[in-house]
Amino acid sequence: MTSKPGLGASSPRVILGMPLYNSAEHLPEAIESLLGQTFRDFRIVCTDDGTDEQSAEIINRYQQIDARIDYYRNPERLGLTSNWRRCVEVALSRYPDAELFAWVSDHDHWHLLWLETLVAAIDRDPNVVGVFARSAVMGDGRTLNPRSATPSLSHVGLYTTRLRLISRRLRAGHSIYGLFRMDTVRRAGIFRDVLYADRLFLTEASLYGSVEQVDAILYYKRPTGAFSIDRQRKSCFPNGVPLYARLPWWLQHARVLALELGIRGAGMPRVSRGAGMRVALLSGIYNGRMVADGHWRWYRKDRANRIERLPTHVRKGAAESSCSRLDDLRARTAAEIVSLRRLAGK
Amino acid sequence: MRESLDRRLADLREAAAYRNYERIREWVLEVKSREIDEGSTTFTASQYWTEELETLDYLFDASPLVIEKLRHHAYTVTGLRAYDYRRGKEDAGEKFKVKLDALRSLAEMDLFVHESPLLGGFGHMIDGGLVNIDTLKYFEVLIAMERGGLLGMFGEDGAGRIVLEVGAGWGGFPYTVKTLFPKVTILIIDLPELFLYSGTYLQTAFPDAHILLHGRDDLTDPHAWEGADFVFVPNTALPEVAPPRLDLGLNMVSFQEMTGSQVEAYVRRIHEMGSPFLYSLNRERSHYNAELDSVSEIIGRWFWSHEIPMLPVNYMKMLRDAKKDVKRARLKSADATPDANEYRHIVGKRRIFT
Repeated sequence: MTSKPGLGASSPRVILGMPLYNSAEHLPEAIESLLGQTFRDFRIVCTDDGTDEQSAEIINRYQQIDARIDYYRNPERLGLTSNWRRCVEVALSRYPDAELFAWVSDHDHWHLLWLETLVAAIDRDPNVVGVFARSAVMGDGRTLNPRSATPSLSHVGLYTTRLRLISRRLRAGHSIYGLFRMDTVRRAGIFRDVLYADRLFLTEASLYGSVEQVDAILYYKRPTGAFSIDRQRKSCFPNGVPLYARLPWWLQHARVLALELGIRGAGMPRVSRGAGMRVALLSGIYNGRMVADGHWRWYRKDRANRIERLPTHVRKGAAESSCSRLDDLRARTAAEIVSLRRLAGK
Repeated sequence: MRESLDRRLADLREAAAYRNYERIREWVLEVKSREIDEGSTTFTASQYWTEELETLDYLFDASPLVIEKLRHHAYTVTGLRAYDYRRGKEDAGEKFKVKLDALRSLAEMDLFVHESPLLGGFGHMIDGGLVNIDTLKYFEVLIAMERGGLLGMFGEDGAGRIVLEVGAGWGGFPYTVKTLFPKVTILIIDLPELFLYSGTYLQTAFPDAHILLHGRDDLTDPHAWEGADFVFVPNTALPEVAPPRLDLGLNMVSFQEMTGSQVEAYVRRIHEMGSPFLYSLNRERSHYNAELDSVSEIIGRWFWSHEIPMLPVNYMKMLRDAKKDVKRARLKSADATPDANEYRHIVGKRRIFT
């Protein structure tokens, strides 16, 4: 752990938690875009889960010019979700009076008005527990492609509607980089040890109030390679994948929600035990159905691709065969229509 | 005939446009005299601009008839000719409409401003106003800025914000920005001769504008900048100018014509002035400019630079089919390799360590 001058002074209003993991290449850009924010009452808490020394060197360079950066090195590799959680735990212990929290990545870029805009948005309405900005995607060619708007996870009243919205439309990898009330972060279990922990966090946070989108592109995301569930499993659980983590992710979420909200009553008084059970059930149903639909869409697409890849003579045969079946059908239908007309004529 | 011409000339001499021209000309002549006395060499015009400026001599002794049609005489700056927009060229007008629609489909804000008919403004009549390549270019640039997150800081009217344009040409983009954000302050740094266009045009388009002139007004006093609409500074005074703040530096299609050391001097100075952003629409360098290697590489030394993909054709070309071409542009993957010979919309964000 590196200590720095200025600690112990009054708590900043916002903590930016930056989990680090061997991403030195884009770290200077990420840090500079945060230090340049027009809203200045924040601390960046970096928890380094990586193996290289470069990240520490870079952070140290910026610590020389700005006292708002804290750096902590994990004694052993924690894995993705645990390191994200560690950020919050360090922030809570170091700055217990901080009101707001945001996770920030070590390879993205933030518009200098990002924090000012999000703080203003969350301050406007006490029912808002989280806000996030629209994003654009950066590629290696340094292009920026704006993404379409993500729906706000507004407090729409019925859990049914909200959970369906989350299951179908949420881009968790984007919305998770929003600004949340510290109290909500705590109540939503910080970052639980499940796959797609960001999705589960946003689901839980939305039970305590609105999670709103600010309609401005203020966050620039750099994709970090193709997503795969196996890759996430390995990065979340570097010391061995527990048995429950081998379940489908939506079952893991439903299980956690049932345990935490339904049995332990962690959401009370806002979410009663009964409501918690209902949330767990609905989450399982909607997410499960969404996954099944996704598989079905993939299967249909894959089947079409496989037919495309077939040798020409086979494809031609398949096409002819389907044509002949279609002709049979047409002939039969025509015959039926004729017979029906005859009947009607009689 | 002679009488009517004399009467018209006399009227035009009294018109606001010509009086504005005379005022700006006096200032430009002062600036040129100072340049000769001081013998500045850092910002000597590149070979390209030296040749261009030789064709502008007649503007130092322009007739009121020339000023009345000043936009027609801006051909040297933009390459646009009023002739191409005359009546009877409706087919060409259709193509402009297609491109305007394509751009509108990309825009999230209403950022289009028609060309004003002022001082001989020209264009195809579309949606009740004049549209030409310049107006489409400015629209495209504003959309790119919006997509790059540069316009949010201007709020409703741009109050309190200062924008620096390096090379404003005839003043078309400052006119557009001022129309959209009436309270923004626009600082223009340019070759002195070009203020004969932009200075005259902007003062005439905005008769009540508060304009500060380098050498006449004290630009070192931060209070002097308060409420200023435009600030004109010759390129040779770049090292001296220090606005109280700078929110955006921008350049369109002139970095590519400069020498590498000139581009570097501008980009470095914009960084020194504290600008959080720099926007550029340029090729890496013009085909015939051997005094420059890469605009984006120079920008990248002081600003984290990102390219904003727009239409599949550059600002000078028209589209065949708005829907298809826009779809094609959207399908461009984020990691598509940029074409070095094409115009690129680059948004730069300030680096701390350079």
